[in-house]
This record gives sequence, C-alpha cells and structure tokens, in this order.
Amino acid sequence: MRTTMLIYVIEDDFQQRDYYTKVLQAEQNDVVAFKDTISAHNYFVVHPAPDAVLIDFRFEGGPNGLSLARQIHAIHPVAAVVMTSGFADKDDIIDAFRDGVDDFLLKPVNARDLVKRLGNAVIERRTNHPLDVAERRLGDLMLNPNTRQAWWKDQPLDLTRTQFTLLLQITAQPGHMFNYAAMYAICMGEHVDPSLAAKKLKTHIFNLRHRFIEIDPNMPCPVVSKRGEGLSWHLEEDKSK
Amino acid sequence: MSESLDPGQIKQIGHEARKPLISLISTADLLLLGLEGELSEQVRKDVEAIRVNAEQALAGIEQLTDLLKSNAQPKRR
Repeated sequence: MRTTMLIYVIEDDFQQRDYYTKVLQAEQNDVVAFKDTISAHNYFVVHPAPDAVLIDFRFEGGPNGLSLARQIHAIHPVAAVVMTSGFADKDDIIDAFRDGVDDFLLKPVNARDLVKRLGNAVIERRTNHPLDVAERRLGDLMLNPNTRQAWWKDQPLDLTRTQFTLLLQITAQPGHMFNYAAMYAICMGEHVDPSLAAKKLKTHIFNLRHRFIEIDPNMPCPVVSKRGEGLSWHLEEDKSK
Repeated sequence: MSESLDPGQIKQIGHEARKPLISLISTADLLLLGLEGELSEQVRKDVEAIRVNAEQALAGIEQLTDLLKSNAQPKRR
C-alpha cells in the first residue's frame, strides 16, 4: 500500500505549479500549492509539518526560494526541501546544499524523477532528522513546532499561537534582530509599516516576555525587544562553563 | 558600440528565454502522461512534436548562453 505524503509546492509559474501538483496528486500525495514565498511562509507557521516541500529557486519580487527553505527548516526540521530551478549555476546549487536543501532538480523535471527524488529526499531527511529532533532545544528552552508547545527550565510556557510563532522565529537565529514589520507579517499574514507593527505586537511581546519572567524572575528575559528595532533571542552566556 | 553583457545579464536573459520553454515541456508532459484526459493518436503525435521542438530550442539557448558566458568572462578581469 502506498503511503500518502503531504507535499507543499511553491512555484510562481502557473503551468509549472499545475504540472507538479497533478503529477504528485496522481501518485496519491496530498498537495498544497502556493504561488509566492510569503503566502507559503504564512501558511507554514500555523500548519503541521509537511513531508516534503518543492520550491522554486527564484521568485519575482519577495524573498527567494533559498531564504524560504532556511525558514522552513527552522520551523519544520523534518520536512524535506527539494529545490527546482530553470537556470541555476554551480554556485547556486552549492549554496542550496550548504543551506540544508535536500535535493536540487533542474527544470524541466520529468515526472518519474520528480516523484522518485522527492521520495528519496523524504527518506533521507527522516533518517538524518528523526521525528524527536523536530523539537528545538536552546539551553533551557524547548520548542515543539508540531504540537506548538514550549518549555522553559522544564516548566511549560503557556503561549498563544502568536507568542509561539514569535518565539519560534527568533530562536531560529539567536542574536539576530528581527524587525517588527517582518514579525507581524509572519504572525498575521499582513504587511504594515514598522511603527504600526510594533504597536500591534506590543501586547503579544509583553505577554511572551512575562511568561519567561514568571518562571525565573531572577534571570534576564531572553526575549529582547528593542524600541525602533525589533525582537531577538538573546541568552546570557552560562558563566559556569 | 562595444558594450557587452555581463554574466548577471546573461544569466537573466537565459532564465527569461528558458522559462516559457520549460512551461511548454511540462504542459506537454502533463498531456502525454494522460493527466489531462485521454489523447487521440494524432493529438499525441502533435504534442510529442511540440515537446521535441521545445527541447531543441532549450538546448539551443543553453549553447548560446554558454557561448555568451565564455566571451563575457575575460572582460571581468
């Protein structure tokens, strides 16, 4: 019996998107297709991990496929990411593999190759990233993107969906300052100017920080919010090391 | 005028030229796989001819962009 996979297809060209979708559906897979990286990303952060993601390397306007691939792995480490391109050079392909992409297919992709290499990428990804690795650990923080649960110093953090999404994003790149407009777009799927985004996120961030402070009031809160800049994850060095 | 294309421009032109041909090949494959319904023998032959020609055009673009790239690179020094 065939195992059905959940596959996300992100491709801006309608014909290509239609082709991938129909070929993969004909193999009994469930397919969700997106025409741009932003709508795909907004979907990822609030839905369970797919088995595989097929994503185009280039997109007209908006983030490219590689930056989305990095974000997908930050959110769903078990999802296999296979990249496609109609015109990639060696450097592009090397960059993609270096960034954790599981396979790279040059267009035109024939149907048999598409199905086979996506299947192989899923098997390989699962072998190297067993399901329990889906949980992200950063010091005393543990996040499970599939169940959307978080723990801090072994105590559950009772987070709303927006708070969890904010935390998941900032912990993907500790120390990096994520601007409010980008965070708002990720959480709410809507683009607003940075000052309005900061205003709208204020209560969410305050409550998120408060969850950490409740558990350990003596430790500086690792969720750092800087006025006019953004939000970051900054954990104080363990002095005992 | 002795202006020549830089590698970035060649890459962009190559990408733009390949894109519709790749779409054409994928659509032809979709038809040939029967995923859009049964094809008559004559239609199948026609679609195969479209696919073969699109592949040839794609190979031609590949050669052309390789040639442009090899001419452009020495000027980057």
